[in-house]
Amino acid sequence: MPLSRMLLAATLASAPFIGHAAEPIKIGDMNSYTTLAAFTLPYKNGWQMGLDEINAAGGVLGRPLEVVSRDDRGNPGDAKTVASELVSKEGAVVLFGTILSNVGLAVADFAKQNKIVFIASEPLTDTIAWSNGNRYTFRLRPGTYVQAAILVEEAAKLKAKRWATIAPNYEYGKSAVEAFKKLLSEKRPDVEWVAEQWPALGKIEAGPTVQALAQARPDAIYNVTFGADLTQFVREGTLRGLFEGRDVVSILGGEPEWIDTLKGEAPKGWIVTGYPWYDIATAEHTAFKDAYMAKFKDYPRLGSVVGYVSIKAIAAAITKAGSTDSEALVKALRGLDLKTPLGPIVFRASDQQSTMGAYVGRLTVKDGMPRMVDWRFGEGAKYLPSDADAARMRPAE
Amino acid sequence: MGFYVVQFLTGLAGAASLFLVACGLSLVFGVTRVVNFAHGSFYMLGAFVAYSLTKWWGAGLGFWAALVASSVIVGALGAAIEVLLLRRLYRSPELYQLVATFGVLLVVQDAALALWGPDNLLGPRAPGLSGSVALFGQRVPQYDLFLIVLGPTVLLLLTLLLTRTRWGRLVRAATEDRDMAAALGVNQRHLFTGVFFLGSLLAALGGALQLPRAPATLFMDLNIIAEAFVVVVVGGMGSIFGAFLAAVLIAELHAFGILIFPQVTIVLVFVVMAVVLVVRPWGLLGRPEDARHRTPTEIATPLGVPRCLVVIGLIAVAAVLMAWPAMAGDYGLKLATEVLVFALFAASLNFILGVGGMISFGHAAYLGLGAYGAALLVSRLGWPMEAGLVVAPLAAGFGALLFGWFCVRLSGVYLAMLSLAFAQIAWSVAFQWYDVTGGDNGIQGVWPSAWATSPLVYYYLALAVVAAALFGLHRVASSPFGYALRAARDSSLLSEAIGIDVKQVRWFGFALAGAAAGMAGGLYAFLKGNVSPTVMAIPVSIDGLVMVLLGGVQTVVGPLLGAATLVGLKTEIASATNVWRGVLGALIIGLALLFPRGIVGHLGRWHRGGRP
Amino acid sequence: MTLLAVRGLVKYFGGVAAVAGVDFDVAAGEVVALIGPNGAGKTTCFNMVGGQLVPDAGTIHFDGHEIAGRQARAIWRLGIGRTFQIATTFASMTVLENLQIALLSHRRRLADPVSSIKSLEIAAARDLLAQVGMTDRAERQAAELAYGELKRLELAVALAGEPRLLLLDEPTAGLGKSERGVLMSLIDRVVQTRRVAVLFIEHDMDVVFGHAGRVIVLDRGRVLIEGAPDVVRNDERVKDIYLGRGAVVAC
Repeated sequence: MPLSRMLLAATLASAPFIGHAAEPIKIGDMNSYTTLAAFTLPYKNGWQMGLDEINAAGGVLGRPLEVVSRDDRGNPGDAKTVASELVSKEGAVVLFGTILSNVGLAVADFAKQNKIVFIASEPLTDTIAWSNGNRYTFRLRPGTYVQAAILVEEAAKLKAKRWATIAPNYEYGKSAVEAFKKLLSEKRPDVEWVAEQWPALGKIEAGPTVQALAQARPDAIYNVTFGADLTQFVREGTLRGLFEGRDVVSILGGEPEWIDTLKGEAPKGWIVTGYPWYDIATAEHTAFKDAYMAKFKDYPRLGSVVGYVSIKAIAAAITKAGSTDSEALVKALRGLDLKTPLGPIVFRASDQQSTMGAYVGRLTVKDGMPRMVDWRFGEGAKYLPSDADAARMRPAE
Repeated sequence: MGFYVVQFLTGLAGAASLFLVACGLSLVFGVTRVVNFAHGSFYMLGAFVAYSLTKWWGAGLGFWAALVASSVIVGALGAAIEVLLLRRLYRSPELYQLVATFGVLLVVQDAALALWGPDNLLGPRAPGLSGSVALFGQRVPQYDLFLIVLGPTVLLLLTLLLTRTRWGRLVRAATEDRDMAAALGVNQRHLFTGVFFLGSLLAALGGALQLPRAPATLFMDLNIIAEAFVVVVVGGMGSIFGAFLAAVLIAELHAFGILIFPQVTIVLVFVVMAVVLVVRPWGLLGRPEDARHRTPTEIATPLGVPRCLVVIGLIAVAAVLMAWPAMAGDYGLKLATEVLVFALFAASLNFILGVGGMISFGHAAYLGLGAYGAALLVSRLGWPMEAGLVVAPLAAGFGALLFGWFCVRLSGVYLAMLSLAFAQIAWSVAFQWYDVTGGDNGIQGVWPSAWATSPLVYYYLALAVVAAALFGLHRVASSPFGYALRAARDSSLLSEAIGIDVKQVRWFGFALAGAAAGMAGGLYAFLKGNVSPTVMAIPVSIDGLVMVLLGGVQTVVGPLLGAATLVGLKTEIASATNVWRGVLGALIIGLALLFPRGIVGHLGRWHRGGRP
Repeated sequence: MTLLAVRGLVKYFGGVAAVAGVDFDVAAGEVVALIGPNGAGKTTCFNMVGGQLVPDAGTIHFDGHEIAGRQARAIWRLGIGRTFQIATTFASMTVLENLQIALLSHRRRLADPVSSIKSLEIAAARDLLAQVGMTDRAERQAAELAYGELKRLELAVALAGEPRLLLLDEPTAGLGKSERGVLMSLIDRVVQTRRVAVLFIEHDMDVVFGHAGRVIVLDRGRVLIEGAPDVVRNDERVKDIYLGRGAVVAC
C-alpha cells in the first residue's frame, strides 16, 4: 500500500523538531474556504494581517506565531479529520475558525474531547455557547440571539402589527426566526404572526414565495434569507411590489459579504444588522481599515474583522496565560478583555461568549453600492442573557 | 381567484429553466445512456459565461446576444468533453461514466472559482422585460411571461427537430434501440457528439436564462443536478414531453404546496419522484427498460482476480492493517479507522452492486441511518457505545427493508434514482426534525465507551468489526443465498423459471447491504463523535460509488483499496491545497480512463494476459 | 392420462390477438411438437404455460392444478421445466454452479446465507452434467461455452427440478446438423429414462417428424390441425402455410 507509506513519510517529514530556540507556536485555522469562498477569504485576510502584526511586534512569549490553515471541507465529519490533523499531526496548540454552524459544533466537540482550546470565530448558532457549550470552546461573533435582539429593539418601534417571516429551511433560519418572534412578542404582545415561508437553502423559488407572502397582507416582513436566495427574493419582491408600504427587517442584511452582490439594487429602507465599514470613525477601526485596504487593495468585510480579532485574541490569551497549555489558556480566556476595531470586548467567564456587538441601521444605496445609514452600535453585553441565565443554559462541566 | 391564476403562471415560469436543463439531460441519456453528473456544470457555466459576455457587450441587446452565444459556447464545450473523455468510456460499465462525469463536475467547480472568483455575480435584468404587468390585480414580472412562452416554444422546436429532420429521426432511433441505429449505418460518433452539443446547449441556456432572476453562483451545478435527474426520471427517461410535464408538475406542486405547508420545500421533489416511481416505475411517459439492455456490471467478470493474487493481497493488507498503529500517530490512526469504516461502506455497496446487480445512488442513507441510530441511542437514551453498535446495523437494515421493498421492483437507472429519492427523503427528515435529530447541526458528543476512547483501541475495535463484517459479506456472497442473488442479476427470467423469487431475494440482499452500511455508520458515529445530515447526503453516496469503482466491481480487496485511495487522496490533497476538488476530479477522470474496470480488476486482467 | 390441458387460451398484444383461443392436451410421457410459421403464437403459448405471461382468457390445467396466471416459480415447483428460444443460463457462474443453484432451488435451500456453495449438491450436479455429456466442462464459466453446450446446460438446468413436463423453445435453433442430432438423442434418452413429457417448438421439420409422437400446428393464434406426424405432414393446409408463404422451414 504505497499510499500509506506516503502518508507515513509525510507524517515524519512534518514532525516538529522539539527544542529549537525560536520555534514557532502553531495555531490551527480551519474554515470553509472552498464551500463558502466568498465569505471566508476576507476572513483569512483578516487573520493574516493580525498575524503579521503580532509577529512584527516580536511574537508571543518570545516565539513567533505560525498559523496552519486548512479547508474544513464544509461538513462536520471531514472537519473532525482536519481538526485531528491540525492537532495530532501539525502540532497546533489552539484551533480557531469555522463559519458553518454544524462544522463549528463538530470542532467544538472535538475541542472538548481532546482538551484543546477552540475559538469559534464565525458560527452563528447559539447552541455552541449555550446548550452545547463546553469548557474549551469560546465563541467570538455575536450569535443569532444577539443579532435578533438588536433588531427587535428597532422592530418594536414600528407600527406594524401583522408580521410575516421568511427564512432558509435549516437550523440557522429556524433559530433566527424563533428568537425574533419570541423577543418581539414579549415587547409587543399586540403583534400577530400571519405567514411564514421556508425556502430550501440556496433553492428559493422566489416568485411563488413572494406571492405567498404578499397574499397574507402583512404590515412587516422579517427576512433571514441570504446569498443567492436573498438576491432573488429582493428582485422578485421588488418587481411584484412586495416591499411597497411594508417594513422589512433583515438579519445580517447590512454585512457587505451578503449585500454587496446586489449593488444598486439593494432594497432601501430595510432595517438590518451589519457592518458599515465606510462610516465607522473610531481610531481603532480607522487604523484597521486603512491597514487592511493598503495590504489587500480591497475593503474589509465583517469576516475580516472577525479573523483579525480571532488571532489577536489567541495571542492575548497565550500572553496572559504565559504558556500554551490548554487549561491555562481556558483560564486566561475566561474574562479576557481585548481592544478590537469594533470596540472593547470581553470573553464572558459564564458562557465563554465574547461581548462583540453588531451595528443596526437602515439600508440605502450610495454611488451604486449598498450602504447603512442612521446606524448605531449595539453592545453585545447589553443583549446577551445575564451571566446567571447563560450559565444555566450550559451543560454541567 | 386572481391570486391562484397568477400563482399558477409563476409556477409555469419557474418550470422553464428546469425543463431546459432536464430535457438536455434526457436527450443525452436517451441516446448515449450516459448518466451525466456534469450536466449541472453546463447549466452553471451557461450563467457565468452569459454574465461575462453581458458585461463585455453591454446590457442592452448584448444580453440577448450573450444568451445565445453562451449557450453555443458551452454546447461546444460539452461536445469537446464528449470527444475527449466520454467517447473513450462508452464501452465501460455505466457507473464508470458516471464517476468520470462526477470528476468533470469537480474540475469545473474549481475552474469556475478560478475564472470568476468566489462572489455571487448578479447580471442585469432582461432588457425590454425588466418591469411587471398587472394581471388579475397582481403584478407579474414581464420576464416571467417570456419564460412561460419560452418553455413550450423550445418543446415545440425540439419536437420538430426530432420528428421532421433526418438527424432528429436518427436521435429517436438511437434512443429507442442503439443497436438498431448502429445497424442502420448511423455514424454513431457524430450523432453522440451532436447530442452532447445540443444537451449541453440546452443546459447552458437554462442557466443563462436565470441571470435576470438570480445571481450566478458556484452552487448552481449541484443545486440543479439532483432536481434535473428527478424531472428526467419522473417524466420518463428519454422523453422530452415527459420532462416538460414533470417540470411543470414539480413547479406547480411547489407553488401551491408552500401555501399550505411552507416547510415542504426541502423534500417536495423527492417525494414526487418516489410517488411517481412507485406508481409508474418508468415515469409518466417513459417506457419499460429494454430487457436486452446491458446491466452495468455485466462487463466486469466475477472473481476478476486470480485466487493466488487475492490471497497475497489479503495477507499484505492484513499485515499493513495490523502493523499500522506502530507506524502512525493519533491522526494516522483516525485516518486509518476512517478508511476501514468506508471500506465496509464500499463493500456493502459493492455487494448489492456486484453480487446483486442493483445500482444504488442513495446508499449513504443506510450509513446515515446506522450513524443516527447509534447516536440517538447514546445521546438521547444514554445507552453505551456497545448497544449503539448493535442498533446501528439493525436501524439501517430496517430502513433498507422499507425502502428496498419499493426499490427492488425496479431495475437499472430507475432503481438508482428511486434509491436516491429515498436517501434524500431520509436526509431531509434528519435535516428538519430538529427536536429529535438536532437538524443540520446534528448530534454532538457521540463518543465511545471509556475503554475504547483511545484512537489505538478504537482502531482495533473498528478493524475487528470491519474484518468480521467483510468476512460475513464474503461468506454470504458465496452461500446459496448469495448465488440466488447472482442468479437474479444474471437472468431474472431464468431465475424465476427455476423457482427463485427474484424480488424477495433482491429485497433481502438490499436489506443486508443496508445493514452492513449501517454497521459502518455506527463505527463512523463513534469515530467522529458526532453525526449530521451530511453523512447521508448525495456526495457521500457518490464517494461510495467512486470507492467501489476505484477498487473494481465484484472484487474482494477492491473496496478496501478503493476506500484507502479515496480517503487518502482527499485528505492528502485537501491538506496540501485548497483546489483539492479540481485535483481530485482530474485524478478520478484519469483513473477512470486508465483503469476502466477498476484498479484491482486490472491487476487481474494483466495477470491473465489481457484476456477480457 | 392427460398431464397438461389447455383450453380457450387468449393473449392480446396492443389489441392484436397473438393467441386467439387455443386448446390442446399433452399426456404424461408424450413428446409433442408445436409448429407453425413465425408469429403463429407458439412462444406466446409457451410463455403462458410457463408463467412468463398472464393469459387474457382461458385455462391451463397441469396435473389437476389450475396454473393460468400463476408465477413462473410456482409453476416450476409443480413440475414444469423449460428452456428459452435464446439459450439462457447464469453467465457469470460455472457450469457446475448453474446446476447447483437449480438443484438448491428445487430442494428449497437457497435461503441459506451461511454455508459455502462449494460443497452443496455436487454429486447431483455432476450426475446431471453426465446426463448431458458435459462432465469435462464442469468448471467452465457459462459465458465461455459454445452455443451447443449452452443449450445442453440449459436442458440440464431444466431437469434439475425433476419436471414431469419439459417445455423446450426451439431446442435446436442455432445449432449445426451434427449438434442437432446429439441434442435430440439426448432428449430422447431423457424421455425414456425419466418418463417426462416434452412439448417443444421447432422449425426443423426433420427434427419434428423424427422425434415427435404428435404434432400441433398453430397459425395466426389458432390450432390449425393436430395429430400424428404422418397425418400433419400430408395435410394440404400445412403444406400451404409453409410452402405457400415462403421458406420458413429452412431456418
